[in-house]
Amino acid sequence: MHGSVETIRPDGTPILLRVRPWSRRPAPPWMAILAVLVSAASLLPLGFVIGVTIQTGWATASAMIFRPRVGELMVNTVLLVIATVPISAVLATALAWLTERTDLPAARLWSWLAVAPLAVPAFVQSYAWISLIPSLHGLGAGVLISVLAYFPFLYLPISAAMRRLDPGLEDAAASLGHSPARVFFRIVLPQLRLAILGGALLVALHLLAEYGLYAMIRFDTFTTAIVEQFQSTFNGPAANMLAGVLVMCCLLLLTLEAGLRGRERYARVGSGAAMRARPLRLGRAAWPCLLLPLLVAFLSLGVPALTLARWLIAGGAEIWDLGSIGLALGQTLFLALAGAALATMAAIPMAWLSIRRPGRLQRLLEGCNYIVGSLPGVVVALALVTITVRVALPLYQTLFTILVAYALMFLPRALISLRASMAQAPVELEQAAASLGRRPIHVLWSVTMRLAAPGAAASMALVSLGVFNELTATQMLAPNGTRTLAMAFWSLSGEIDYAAAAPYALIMVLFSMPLTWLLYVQSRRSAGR
Amino acid sequence: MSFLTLQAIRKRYGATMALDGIDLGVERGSRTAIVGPSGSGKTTLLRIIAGSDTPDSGRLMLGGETLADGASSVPAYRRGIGIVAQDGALFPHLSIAENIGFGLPRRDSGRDARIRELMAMVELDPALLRRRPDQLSGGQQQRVALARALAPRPRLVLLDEPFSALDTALRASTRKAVSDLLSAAGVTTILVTHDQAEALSFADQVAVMRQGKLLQVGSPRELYLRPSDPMVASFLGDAIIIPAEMADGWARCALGIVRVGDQQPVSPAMIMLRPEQIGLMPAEPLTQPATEQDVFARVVETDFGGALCTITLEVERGASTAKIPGEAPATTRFSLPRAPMETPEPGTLMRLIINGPGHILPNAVATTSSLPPIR
Repeated sequence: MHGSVETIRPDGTPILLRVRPWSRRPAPPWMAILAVLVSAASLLPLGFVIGVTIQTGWATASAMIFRPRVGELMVNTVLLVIATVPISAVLATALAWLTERTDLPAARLWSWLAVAPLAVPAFVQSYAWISLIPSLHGLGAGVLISVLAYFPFLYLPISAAMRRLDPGLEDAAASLGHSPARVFFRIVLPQLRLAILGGALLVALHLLAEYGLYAMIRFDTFTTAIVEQFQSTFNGPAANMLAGVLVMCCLLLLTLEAGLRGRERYARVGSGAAMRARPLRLGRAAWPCLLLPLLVAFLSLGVPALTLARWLIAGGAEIWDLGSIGLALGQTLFLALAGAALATMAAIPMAWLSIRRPGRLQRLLEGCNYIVGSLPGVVVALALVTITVRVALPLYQTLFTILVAYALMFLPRALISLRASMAQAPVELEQAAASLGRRPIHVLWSVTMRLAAPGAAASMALVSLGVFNELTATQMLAPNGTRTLAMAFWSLSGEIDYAAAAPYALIMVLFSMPLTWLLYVQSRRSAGR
Repeated sequence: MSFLTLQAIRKRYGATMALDGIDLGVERGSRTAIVGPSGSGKTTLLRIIAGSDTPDSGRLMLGGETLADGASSVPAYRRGIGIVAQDGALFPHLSIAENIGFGLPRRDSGRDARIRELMAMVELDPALLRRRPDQLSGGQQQRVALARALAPRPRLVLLDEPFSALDTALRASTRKAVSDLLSAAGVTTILVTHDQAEALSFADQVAVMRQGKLLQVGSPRELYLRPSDPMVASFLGDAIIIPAEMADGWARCALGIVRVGDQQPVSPAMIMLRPEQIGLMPAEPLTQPATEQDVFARVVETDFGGALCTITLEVERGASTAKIPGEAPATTRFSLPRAPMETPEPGTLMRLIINGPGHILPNAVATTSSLPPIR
């Protein structure tokens, strides 16, 4: 389709007729306009941070940023990240190796149990531990609970990468005289680098964004400090400046990861089907090896299960106030589904553009969407609060604003699955429909979206899981009288009424379970099994 | 005792017997090819020699040292056996120099010199040393893989279908280069392949494998001209396999009277002729009077195929065929490859001329009166 057609002029010189390939044709303008609008909206939080900093002025801003309190928060946050991420990475790699590359008994079960902690919201994990050991607080506790809550984000990509590794490389290294331990460090580990980096970035961004987990154990990070500031002084410059520093931290992480990732290719070189690796025989070592997944499952799943069971039994029937629980569940489901629908619709123009008209503009727009997706909910909420209060007061604390916040926060999740399934709807079908006289909008709806429906469903599911357990932004933005499951759980456990909070925690875990299963199944399928 | 000795090696995966009692000897400095259809167990055999897998039973010895005796075995990294895999299996995260030097000690002072020497040996430009494997062509990757395997001076090199991922033009030249290089280096080599032409041209010793067993081991010439059974015969090239009656060192079959070697005649037997042994002469005009022993066949069909065309003939008037009790004689059809200018029109009657001796297949039972399908 590329290239040029040569024709001969009467005088014998060739004329080059430029033939535009289909993929370079300009996108229907309304599609591009929508995509630009969505991306511009997604830049609001970033613009807010920059705008507020300019407005505050450098003198005031630096006075607010360079003070001992911020330094303390910085030390706390940095220590949290540099302790949690490596521990999680080592733990996830060890678990992935045991479940994927050895004949560990019941490996599939352990593999599922290593993903299952994703179904326990981080603040529920924290609640389980604090009500078990009330004296738990500080950095040590923060690291322990963070590792248990977030290591699956590393386990998923690492185990998938391990399944895809070509055992031929390990055989070749062994034939060159390298012992199994050296083969692991020189061949296996370098090939897991991309998976480890990606997972580590995800975990680090979660650590920066999480509020409930650390507030519950009284460990101060930027996010908890911003929420506290917001609650005491509402929309003060102090909170805004802290948000600015937090955004800088996120951007730093993104650049760091991009820099470390580099340009190397880690795929298989050469052709031919990769062989499945033969699992390593553990023999008598199997029993001590079982201790690791057993211990991790006990700490990350057993403790929340035991604590929840204990409070549910202690609370008996009276904690099941069906009226308020039902109301909270209804509100949460409504917000989750509405937010998911909005995020998915907002992602359609972007996804379509990146599949059908890839180019520089589209890459730029997509980059905007990913950056905002990596910003903590508290920053997004703060930006929307400031903007609605100053520019459009009637929109402050309305359903519209909270749904926009959800759409901004979870746009990347929606984009990923939607794009993958749109890529499978062949462009020839769109062309055929257009040649049969359908208008472009009609084509998009009746052909492309119909074929992409499973992806759209998956993206809605992922977004609604995010909204379901969202606490920070919901607290700051939701209309008065809103009481989602997470909010109810949070206020009850804040009053040390652990028993009354238990039913809400249970419902959140139960609703998260099927989606966690979906994630697990998808990761296995993407690795070809 | 040979340099490499395999004794009664057995390996079972679940219900399938991957290796069913393999005995093989490989001489020092020689080249052996193990050839067989896919699924015949040849890669499993290679993995057991390399130490990537352990046999269920049997012994494996290299240079007098026992590498595996039943399930107890020396681990792969202590064997000093090099492997070149089908796709090269270069480490994607290391440069070419690091790939080749992977098996050499880090602090060895002669390391760089050795890497350069190997690059020269496999005829690659030293400028490639700093590249990554994915920046090389398939043929170059294969050469790097060979250099990497040779770097620690292994006692034995295993080649696992190393040329099959290359395109046809590159395959022959790379094979020739590798073969010359290995004989110059004097390294004992085992090649595993499913390509019979590759096996015949590469090796001093060929072993034909099927369903976990070695059917026949010998020199390429011996295996091609004197296969032990129809499977080996047709695996190594086109073969015409027909029943014949034996008498005084001659075989009387549908295609005429054929001299056979000094094999023990059992009558009736199956004999094998290679298509290139059969010459054709136009039957008319008769240059010589037809004798009783002359065989005539009519061209039934011709398929144009470029350099080689296929003509199918049907025997019209042949010497008496071997009668197999209880079976009716069938019409005898066979196909021959011919150059396009030597292809007669369909309907032409041809006289058959058989050059060289026929070969009695010792392990074939004469139970069929028609020709088996010709590959």
